Amino acid sequence: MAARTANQHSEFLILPGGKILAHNITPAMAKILSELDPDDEPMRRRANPKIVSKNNELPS
Amino acid sequence: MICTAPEKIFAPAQSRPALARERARIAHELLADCHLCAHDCGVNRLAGETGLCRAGADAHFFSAQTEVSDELELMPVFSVALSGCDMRCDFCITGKESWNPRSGDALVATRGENAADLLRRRGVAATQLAEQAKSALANGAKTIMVLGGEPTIYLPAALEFVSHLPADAKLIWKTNAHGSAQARELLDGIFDVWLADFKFGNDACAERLAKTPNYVRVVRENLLWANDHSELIVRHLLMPGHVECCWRPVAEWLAENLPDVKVNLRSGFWPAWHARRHGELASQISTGENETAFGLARELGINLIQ
Repeated sequence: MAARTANQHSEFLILPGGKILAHNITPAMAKILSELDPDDEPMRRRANPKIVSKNNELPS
Repeated sequence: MICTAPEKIFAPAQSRPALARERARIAHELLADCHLCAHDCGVNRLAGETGLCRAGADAHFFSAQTEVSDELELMPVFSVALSGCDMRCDFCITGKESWNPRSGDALVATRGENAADLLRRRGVAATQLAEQAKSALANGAKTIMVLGGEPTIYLPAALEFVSHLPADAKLIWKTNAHGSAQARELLDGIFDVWLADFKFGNDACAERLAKTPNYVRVVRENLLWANDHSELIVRHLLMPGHVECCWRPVAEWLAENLPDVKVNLRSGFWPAWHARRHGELASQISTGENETAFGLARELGINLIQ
């Protein structure tokens, strides 16, 4: 099981304009992506899921 | 035929782990004449025959980890991704694993084997994976998701896994919604949330891009059933060049038939796997298409979630 834990993975695609598409985002990867773009509100919420659980409405 | 009501094959009113254990046993026996998905192959997977999904009797999984990329209300999710699928979407984001049912590690059912048998089969026991899931829950995961590929083709393993999970864990069934009536009956009362894809708005696109006939009828049937038997969240991945032919009919049908259902309209398409076999799928969704799609959703009153 330790091996599987060590094998955590996310996949992402960086577009020529700098936009990053990602899936299978782990909490650690969400933190990295959030730090790369602090203005990315959805990613900030994914990087801090406890905030999300209290406030999961769509942003205006 | 998927529309034929199956005979009742088990009794309800048991605890979920017990119910899942009993249904795992039944589902394993049904592999001898497999009708778990709507392809309705009828092959004997216990004897080594394979249908369109090419899946044998034993499941494999290619990922088991906590993720935060699913719907905000569900995450963090401990996700177990089973290898193999009954559809052949050329744009599949996990095509390598979804088109190969033996990708990853074997998920070994514990049908009376001893430790030596498990070791010989060189896999991870369903009990071990369940322990990992329980550990994830203890460390902040909110839900446990079983997905693929397509988990329907490995219902025995999925149900076995569930049988080792806490009865009160919130469980999500992430599916392509191409399962059969038989599969639905085996799943009834097991998962709290069905997270179901509605990928194509017409059968021609489903046949061309995913080699799946009768797609729309089957998916609609599954979504209506899921909405009656559990919480339902519908996902639609916007594809370049398919807003009018796929998203519009999907959105119109949802608005008319499942007006309150939660819908996650996803715009993160990228040309994965064999997508470039189709010219229109060689790029991302454009800004204009994205605006049109979300505008249509607002116009129809679709209950969008993130």
